[in-house]
Amino acid sequence: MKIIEGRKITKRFMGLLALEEVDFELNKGEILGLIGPNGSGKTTLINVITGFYKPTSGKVIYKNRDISGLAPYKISRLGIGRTFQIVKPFMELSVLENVTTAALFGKNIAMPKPKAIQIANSSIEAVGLHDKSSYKPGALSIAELKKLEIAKAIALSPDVLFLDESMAGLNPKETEAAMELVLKIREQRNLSIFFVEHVMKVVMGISDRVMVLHHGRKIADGKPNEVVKDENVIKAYLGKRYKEQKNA
Amino acid sequence: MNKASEFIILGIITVVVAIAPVMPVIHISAFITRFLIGVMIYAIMAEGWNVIGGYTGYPSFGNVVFFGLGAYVTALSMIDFHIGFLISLILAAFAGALFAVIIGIPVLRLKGHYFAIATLGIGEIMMAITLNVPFTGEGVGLSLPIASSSLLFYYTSLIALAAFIIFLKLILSGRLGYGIIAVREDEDAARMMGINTVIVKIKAFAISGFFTAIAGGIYAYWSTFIDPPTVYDPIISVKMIIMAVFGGAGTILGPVVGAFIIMFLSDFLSTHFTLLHTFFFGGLIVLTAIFLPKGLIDLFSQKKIGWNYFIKNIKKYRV
Amino acid sequence: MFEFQVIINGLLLGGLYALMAIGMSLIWGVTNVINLAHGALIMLGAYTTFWLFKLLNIDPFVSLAISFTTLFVFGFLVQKYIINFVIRAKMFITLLLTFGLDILITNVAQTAWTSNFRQTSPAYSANGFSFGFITVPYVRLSAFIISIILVFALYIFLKKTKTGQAIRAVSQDIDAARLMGINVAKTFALTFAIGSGLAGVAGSMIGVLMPITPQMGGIFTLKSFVVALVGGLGTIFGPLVGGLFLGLAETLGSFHLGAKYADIIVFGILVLTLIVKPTGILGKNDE
Repeated sequence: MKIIEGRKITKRFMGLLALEEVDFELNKGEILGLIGPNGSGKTTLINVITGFYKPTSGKVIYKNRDISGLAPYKISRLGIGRTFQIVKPFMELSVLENVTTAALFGKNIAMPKPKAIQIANSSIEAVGLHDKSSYKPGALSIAELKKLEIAKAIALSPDVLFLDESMAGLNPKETEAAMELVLKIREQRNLSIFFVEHVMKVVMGISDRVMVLHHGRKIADGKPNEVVKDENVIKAYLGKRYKEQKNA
Repeated sequence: MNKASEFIILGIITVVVAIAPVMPVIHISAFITRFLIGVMIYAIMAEGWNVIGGYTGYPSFGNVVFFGLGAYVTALSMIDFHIGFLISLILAAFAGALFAVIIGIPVLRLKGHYFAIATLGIGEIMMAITLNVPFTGEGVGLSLPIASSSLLFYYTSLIALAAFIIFLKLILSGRLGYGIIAVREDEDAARMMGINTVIVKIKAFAISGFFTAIAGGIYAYWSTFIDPPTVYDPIISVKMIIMAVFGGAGTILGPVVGAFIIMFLSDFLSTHFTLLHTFFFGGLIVLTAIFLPKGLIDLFSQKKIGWNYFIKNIKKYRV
Repeated sequence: MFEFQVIINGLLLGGLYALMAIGMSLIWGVTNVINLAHGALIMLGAYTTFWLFKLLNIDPFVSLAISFTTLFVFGFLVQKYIINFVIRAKMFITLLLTFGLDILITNVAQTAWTSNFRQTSPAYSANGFSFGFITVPYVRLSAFIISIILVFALYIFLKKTKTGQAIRAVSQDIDAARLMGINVAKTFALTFAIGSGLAGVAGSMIGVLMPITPQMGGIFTLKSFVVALVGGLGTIFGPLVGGLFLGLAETLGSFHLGAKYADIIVFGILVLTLIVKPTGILGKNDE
């Protein structure tokens, strides 16, 4: 069953076409991986879905409702959480306060503060940061900051989670742990997850399905092992590697 | 400082300040009463700036508009409509809040430099408008009735300041407080947390305008005469800012501490070292921005206070 | 016919505004500091020329060079020993600091020279030429021409010289510039020096046209900002476009509405530009 889908999403900046008629769908309980070379429009797509950009044309349908162009705060209150590629912790607040803020404003906007703190604590527990909940983000490692980002997103009690490169900058061991974390929170919280990554291996490891963007267009969508063999995908990635070799 | 001790210190100060002018034994001179009224009026303004500049992260350089507006609304309501002082003050407060909402809707969309300069421009526009509309007395100014006792101003400003601090404490521990601080820390992240950042910013600006206008109203009646260059003087905006920053922007007590110390130093220098007083505000701003950008409260919350703190600040922000 | 004279006046005033704003625009574009002490620098330039004329009888147009040099050195020192310490702090702290400098410089000037009105008044200051109904004062025309010359000189300097290229590189990307071996701190100080020197030249011209007081700077800071903003930040010809626009708007506005609305027009333009198109006339839009 589809929980969120995009229909022919197009986004144009000045003359530049960042997304061209991209369709996608995410089913309930599914983990959908979005890959593509740098500049292929992955973050732009997430920004359109979560309301940071208005689509030039096309629609985003969430639970049978057109949410395209709604403000981000409305979208997040409907049960859509997201993390940012560049982590955005509140530097002057403790981990607990960071996450409490999200819980206070999430899907249950009228929640009293003690309840919000309780939810915040359980979110922090879920990502494994409970022994650092009184720390300020300045004292956390990159891996921990990425976890904090996820804790903030799940404290909204979302139904759908968008993870924008939550594993970029992590070492292989941390990446492994992060992948397990994603699987675990899906299980525990009954989430549907849409995640962006440009490391192929991660995507292949945990995705139920994978879609590929290249130059703002969707060039493949299917089971991970099928997508890797797709000719267009190979070309897009090899093309990039070829260019890198040439530049090096 | 933890919360309990903060409250106790605050309570003691409030009680002492409250009874000081009327207690036979410790009753204070007219000179000190006058000084403290000035401190409290500025403390309200510095705290008002703190709400939008310190907590919300939108450094207004034109908060003097609320002060001027409050002064003019109070004056006109008392002179033209013969409404009592306290009711006039309440009218002024709501006028300040309403004006904050009206200008906030367009300007709070701006960020950084642009917001700061837009607010500076609005201050100048209000001064120019007030100079040119007939019912404000244009450039001539307005004379208010003379009050019977300065204790009225003493207690009005004390109650306004205390009410503001308590109100702010309550706000900050609630949902709006979290929203306000989230906006300051990262607006995009705040939006994705379900925070309607537009409304949060407007509310913060309205609170700022509400109390700053009260300060303007008290000032107007206290000084008995107002004219546009005095009550829309951009230097007043800067004084609010430096008091809040010097004490500690983004802390509740910082602006009050800042207002007290700066007013004290300013008064002291103006009576004893006139020449030095001339350079006081400019010099203080320059030194604070370089050595103490996080204010006294941050300095005193360090484990060890020494030269290193200042040296660290200098090294941190240069190229 | 009156209308035509008003337009000429507006354009000439615009030239002066452009001259005022070039320095602020340069400093803003390169170092990302909005120098709220810019008006105070203009004031210092005005006094430099005034005293040179009054005490040594040096012609204002000759003392432009001295004014430029004096303010150049002053700006360099102020940037290197004061502003540089907060250059990477929150932008609000740099604004606050330059506002503090503005107050400080103004107060020092007031103590040194009193608040009396003064004016640099060489014999030719009221002269001009006319054709038909139109009168063009020499000094305003000269200010206009100097302004255009300086804009082009700055353009050539930034494009053709090594220092100019360093300044442009730093304005694009500090880290990249550093990797290219550019001394960022020195480049910032130089930029500030040039911007201050240009403010000094503007002050010298203003002193011949208007009364001088230590407090004169505040309004010029805001007007320079409006000009830099309206013209488009980071563009070399922006101040020229913005200056002419503001000069015309102000002159036409006060002609039709009354002189007392001049300030409302200027600040109205400021606030409207900020709200509607903060990138200015020549600036690029971004999402």
